[in-house]
Amino acid sequence: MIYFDHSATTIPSKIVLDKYTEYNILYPGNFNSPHKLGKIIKEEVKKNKEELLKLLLLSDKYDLLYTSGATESNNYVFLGFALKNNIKYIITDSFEHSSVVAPIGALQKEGVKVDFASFDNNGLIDLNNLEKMINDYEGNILISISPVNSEIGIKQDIDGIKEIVKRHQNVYFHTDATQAIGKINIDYEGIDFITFSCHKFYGLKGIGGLIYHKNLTFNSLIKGGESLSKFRSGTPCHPLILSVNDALRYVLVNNDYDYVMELKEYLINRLKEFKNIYINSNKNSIPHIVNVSFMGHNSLDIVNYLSDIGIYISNHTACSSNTNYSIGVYALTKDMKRSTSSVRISLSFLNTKEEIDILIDNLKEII
Amino acid sequence: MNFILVTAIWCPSCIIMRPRYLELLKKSNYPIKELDFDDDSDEVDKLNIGSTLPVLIIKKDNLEIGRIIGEKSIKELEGIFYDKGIF
Repeated sequence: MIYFDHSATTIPSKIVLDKYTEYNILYPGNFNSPHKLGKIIKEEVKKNKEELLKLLLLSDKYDLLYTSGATESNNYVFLGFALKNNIKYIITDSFEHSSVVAPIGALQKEGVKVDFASFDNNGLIDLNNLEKMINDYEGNILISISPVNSEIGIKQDIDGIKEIVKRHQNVYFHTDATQAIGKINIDYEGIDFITFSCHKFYGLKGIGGLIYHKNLTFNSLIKGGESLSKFRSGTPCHPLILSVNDALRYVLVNNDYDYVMELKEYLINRLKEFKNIYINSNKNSIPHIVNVSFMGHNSLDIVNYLSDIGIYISNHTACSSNTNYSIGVYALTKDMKRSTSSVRISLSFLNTKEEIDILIDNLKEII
Repeated sequence: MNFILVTAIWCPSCIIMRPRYLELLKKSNYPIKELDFDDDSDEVDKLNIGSTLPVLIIKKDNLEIGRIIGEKSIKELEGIFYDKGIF
């Protein structure tokens, strides 16, 4: 198998799998049990939570709600926080994942005003215009802008946005860090909500988190009495929770940005051997995500052809497979032909140049 | 004349276009029925929508006389509505 779909999901590292099995054996019992087994589990989860926040360089001003993943976490931000706090204006951008867009769309139907920040030809949000949008509104505002777009890899100026938010007391800032954690360094301190999924950084599926400033409250979305948190009921899967830090430690040690950049440059050079293509990822994109349009070819046909021979890429985010085009590429280019012919090749420190050669050789069979 | 507007909450173009349509069509006083691509799939499936959203279907005497697909500027919409006799 040659795997270039790391932005859809990563393959869990062996250490994560081994530790997960170990946790199931070492810590039998239910987190909520009042006896010794429950107390031990509570203590381990508490330690892990504190360690995770430290690994992400976050202060003790933050707390963490473990969820099933970034989609649930993102829903908490909008349907939990924005609704509870009567936020009537949301500013986001055209490159957000559907798990951010959908709850925003749901709130729009409830009367919340929604605007999309303008951006330049490379997809970088215009911060002056963003601040103008904030200045033009008197009530509380929620901004939701992720550091890295999942389809094209565009990296936003999160520090610049933080500076703007600092100047305005009525603005809350959410960032969906799913495509950033383990790939690039972002200073998350000062952001109100940070959401993530563990399976994007060599961990297991079914676990993620909502990191939030302790001053903030929100509605619980899963009712049933207090458990791991008053915001989410249900027996927590503590082996999954404990495995998150193993994955995070693994990726923080192993991620090699310079090596991935080298792979990206090699890939781009090889892609230039094809005629009639557009490289949609640009100088603002992280090297881990390369989006390219093979004009005149249907992206799903390319993905399926390659998967039949054991090479895996994608055409757009797995969560928006009910469209036949890349929403991110369309937002950037307004070119439907480019959007329907775009594929995403997501790179990892686990990939090699030899794998890229095999990918290119096989693409040449159909392009 | 009446309208059917098909949108999806996960579609950024729909979020942009929905208030535009509702604002513009308010002036016309014609009824507009909103359908969600996912929640109202039984009805949406009968309309041959395709996968580009949003879609505004324009009907006169219950017959479809046109549809507008995807994102359009307010100026473009006003032009189309004027051509179709909506304004």
